[in-house]
Amino acid sequence: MTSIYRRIGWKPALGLLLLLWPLLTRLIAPDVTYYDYMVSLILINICIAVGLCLLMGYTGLVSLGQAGFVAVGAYTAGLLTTNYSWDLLPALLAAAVFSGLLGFLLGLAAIRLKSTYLILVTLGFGVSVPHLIAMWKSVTGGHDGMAVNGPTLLGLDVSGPKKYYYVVLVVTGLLLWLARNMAGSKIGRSFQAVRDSEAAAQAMGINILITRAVSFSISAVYAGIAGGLYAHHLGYISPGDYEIIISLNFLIMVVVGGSRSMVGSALGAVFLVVITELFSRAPAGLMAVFLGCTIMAVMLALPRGLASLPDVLREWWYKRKGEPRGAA
Amino acid sequence: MALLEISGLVQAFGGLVAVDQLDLSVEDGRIFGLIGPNGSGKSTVFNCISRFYQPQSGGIRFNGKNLLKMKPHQVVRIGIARTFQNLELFENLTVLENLLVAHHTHFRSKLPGCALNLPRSRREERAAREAALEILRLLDLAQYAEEKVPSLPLGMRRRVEMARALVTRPRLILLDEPASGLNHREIDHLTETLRDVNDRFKVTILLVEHNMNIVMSLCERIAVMNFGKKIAEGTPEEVRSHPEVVTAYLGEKK
Repeated sequence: MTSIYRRIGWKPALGLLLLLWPLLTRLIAPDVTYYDYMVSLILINICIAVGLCLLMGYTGLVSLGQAGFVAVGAYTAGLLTTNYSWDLLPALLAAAVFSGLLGFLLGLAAIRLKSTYLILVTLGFGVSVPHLIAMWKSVTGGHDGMAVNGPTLLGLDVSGPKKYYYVVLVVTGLLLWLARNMAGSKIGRSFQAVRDSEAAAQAMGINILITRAVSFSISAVYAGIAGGLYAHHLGYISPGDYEIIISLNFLIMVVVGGSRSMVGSALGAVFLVVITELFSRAPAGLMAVFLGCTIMAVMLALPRGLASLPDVLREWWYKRKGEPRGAA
Repeated sequence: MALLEISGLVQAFGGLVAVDQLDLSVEDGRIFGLIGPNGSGKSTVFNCISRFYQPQSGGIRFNGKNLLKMKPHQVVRIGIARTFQNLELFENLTVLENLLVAHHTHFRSKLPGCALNLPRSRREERAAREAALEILRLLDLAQYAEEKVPSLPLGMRRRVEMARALVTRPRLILLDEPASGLNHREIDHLTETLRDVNDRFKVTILLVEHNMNIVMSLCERIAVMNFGKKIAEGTPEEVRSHPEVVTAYLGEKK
């Protein structure tokens, strides 16, 4: 078991599992699409988490309004495919561009602000977007929301849960690949430099204002695309899905998972979706209590999130055995 | 020809005049010392050159260009690098990554190229790594390339900051008290390194330092500041025997 794990590595193995997932679920439960649906939902949340990881973990900025960007993406893509019969691909691109632009402007608007105030700007954005959508009744259907057409991708019908699963998988895979490339390049390093020392970052030729705005924009692009995917995943959009509490949940998922690491952030997304599902039939408010307690516990025990658990355990193990750190 | 030309520089904070009508001219290729008691305005001069401060009046020209028209992140592009008195390393990055950040302005790849991991971006990344490792080797830091900064002793961290400044390929390097907190052995090592850097990379050095041994042995020319004003300038010998300098450092004879 260990040797196979070592030889292949977990990433290709996980990739293969995800690739075969709809076939596996068909074998196990032929008439149920629930499992495809759930994994799609996890993947969509992973897109949001990875965008937030670049913003929070790499650049050291906090967004309390990420659901606002998800909403912008959801409505942009949903309105384009439904009212204007756009193909899903250009609709997602439009969602990416529009939310990315808003993210950039929000980042720029915060130019004069210290990061503490920037958080409040994002909070304002997150609070107002769902209400703006609700008020713009003629276009969005207001609080009642609107149904979204089954999507077509390059002319092909991709509206079934199994077909749509693959759309989500490919888009998520692409976004993860792009994020990994950015993180390992001068872009990711400039984010981290701005986070660790503004003075030194500037002395190295990094424009910190533009860097912050770009980081904001990238996280907004990820949220926007995730929103576009989510709209067609549900087949329905309503402002209630993007309330400020959802933004807080996104923040919690990244922090619980570990914002400094993409794997950790993605784990946080899995955590959030699973918890939301487990609590879906529980009394209202119970999930909020649970999440609230979780984040307190994680912050106290594992400030760097679940992703740091292996390191922490290793350290504890060596300490217990009385050996110097990193002896093995 | 003067590489760096400061004329009539005034920087005040409220009522406090930190730098008062300072004239300074640093020749290309030299090691120039800027000394003075604590609070005499040396670091303020650095922060004006780095463009962190906007002086009230006066001019700073570098290689014929007007520095005061530039933003802090543009200064490195024309060839000025610096270190910081209180160390401003990127604490969560490895030593090598710290140096790679300094390579930032030499990348021609932009965001899309990096995101798509295009061949040019990969090529540039490899070249940057090579260049950074080369400088780490020259400063005897190669074995720490993968270490994170907080695990290094202070002397080593100061060397990393210097290495990082060198990666930007500067013509002028501003060193803000590079010897503070170092022990004797580290200081000898530093003196050697500075001479080597000046020699090998043809880098002009403007050195703010309290350790007189370093300043006197390295610098061909020294300016002395006190209360924001330049009180003396000349060779180490001239400065050492200058009456105002003696007074500034040792106090008035009663």
